[in-house]
Amino acid sequence: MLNGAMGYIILIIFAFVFIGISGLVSKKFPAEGVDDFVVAGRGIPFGIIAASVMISWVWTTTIMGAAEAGTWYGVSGGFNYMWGAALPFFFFIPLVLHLRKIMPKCTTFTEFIRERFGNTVSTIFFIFGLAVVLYVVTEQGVGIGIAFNTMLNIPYWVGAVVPIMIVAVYISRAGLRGSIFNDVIQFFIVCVIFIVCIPIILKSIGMDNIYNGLMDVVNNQDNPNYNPQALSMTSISGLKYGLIAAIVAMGQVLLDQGYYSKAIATTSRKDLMRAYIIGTLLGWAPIPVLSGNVFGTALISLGIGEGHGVASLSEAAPYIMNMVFGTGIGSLLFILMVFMAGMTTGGNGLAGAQALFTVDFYKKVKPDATERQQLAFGKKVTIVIGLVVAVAAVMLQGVSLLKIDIFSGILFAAPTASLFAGLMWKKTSPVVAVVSMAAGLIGGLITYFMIEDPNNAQFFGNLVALVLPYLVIVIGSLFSKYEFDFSKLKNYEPAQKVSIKEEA
Amino acid sequence: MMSENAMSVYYWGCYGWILVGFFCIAIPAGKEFYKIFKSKKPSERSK
Repeated sequence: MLNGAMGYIILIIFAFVFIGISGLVSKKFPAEGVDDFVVAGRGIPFGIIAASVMISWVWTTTIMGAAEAGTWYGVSGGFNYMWGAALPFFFFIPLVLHLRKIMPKCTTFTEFIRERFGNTVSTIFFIFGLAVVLYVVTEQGVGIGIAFNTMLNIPYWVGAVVPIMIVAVYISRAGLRGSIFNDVIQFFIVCVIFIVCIPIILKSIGMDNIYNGLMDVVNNQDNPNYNPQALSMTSISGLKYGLIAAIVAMGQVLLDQGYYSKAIATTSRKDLMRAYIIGTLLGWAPIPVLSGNVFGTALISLGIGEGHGVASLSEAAPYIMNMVFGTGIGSLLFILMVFMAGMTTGGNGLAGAQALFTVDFYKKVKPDATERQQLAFGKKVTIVIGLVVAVAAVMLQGVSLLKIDIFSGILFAAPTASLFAGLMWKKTSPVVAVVSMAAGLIGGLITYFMIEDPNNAQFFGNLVALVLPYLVIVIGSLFSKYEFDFSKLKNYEPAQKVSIKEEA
Repeated sequence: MMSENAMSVYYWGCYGWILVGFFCIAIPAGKEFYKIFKSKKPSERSK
């Protein structure tokens, strides 16, 4: 059994390794300007970006949440989690490819919004972008805090605050390049843990035992996890769960500057498309499916359920790891996976926030700032955001993350339509964009509070927040005389020095 | 409802999926990572 001392040792080792890597990166690749710092000089090749995208989309919930989905929906749980959370990338990829084409020197999505819709709409998107980062990084801190507290018995606040501050320090020192290089190392570690552990777990529990256990879940009404659809891939409740996951994830992807920064850091549009498709479909997608199957369904096949062996079904993954590998090595491997999932996602978010503040915010506040001043500000602000998130994570101890997730879906889905329309349709005006966001937000919240059944309220609240803005945009733009000239974005020159390669 | 054989194929198929994904990313990423760290600093390269 791992004890608290071991937990502190793990945290210290991680701190040395990560901050050491950031030191190496900043020494080997000293930032030569704002562009080099926030988008790694736009020269990161395909494989590194694919690894980085894959691992930064592995959240703590990709492992623990998908495992829980496996306990709720059986064999379809992990699969539904996967398609729901992967779908937003297939909106993001064409969007960012088009952005790079029409505005080659763009760095942040708020920069594009400013040129397309003006300062007011850009400020609204800046607030949404910052809120996404705060939410995403806080959620990772809470997840790691819970894991360290329950498995290593160290205080929750230490487990939440220390990892967040480690990420903040290394992003502050090494910028996006440091974040990406750390991602690659963690990609290898998390994948190797999965590749080694999965067959051992399946062999140890036995496929026939899992199947027979699931048959009991399907047929035996006295089973604590009784679910007639546990062995069906077409479970309706599972499909609905996937759809909610897609809507919730939509804003988390489309408003997270971290993903834009990585897309812009990629050497070419061709590499960007390959990296995001392979990173998502081949690298990331099997992780939640395997978590749902191997942790989730394995747990319920053993007759274990809420109040019957575990306090909560979200304990599925650590329970199976401890059972198969023992409480020592099992806990250590699980902690490693959760810690790295949280660190990489948090790093991606913080690197995005760093870009938003360095490129956008500081230039607005101090238009005559030099690149050196911008860099110094970007580094300091990353630490400040880290501190804010650390405090938020401590304050959220014991608060249901599921509830926060529901509201985050409604909040972050609403602006995605105007972002899309802004890129694709010249007739969408700034007024229509703002009205669409307000309609989505208000409509989503009213729907949520008016429906009594909590599952339906969550589903329809999120759906309205996503779909209503599109309706407003279509109707509003069709009746508008406004026309935006996209050609002026092609010649956009940012304040900082940006060198780009000509692409077809 | 899924049969035991179908479930085995599904579970082990997903394992094969992660192996394919891992190698498709790890090989180019490893090579690129090595190349970048072996290369000179960007400022030296451009001289």
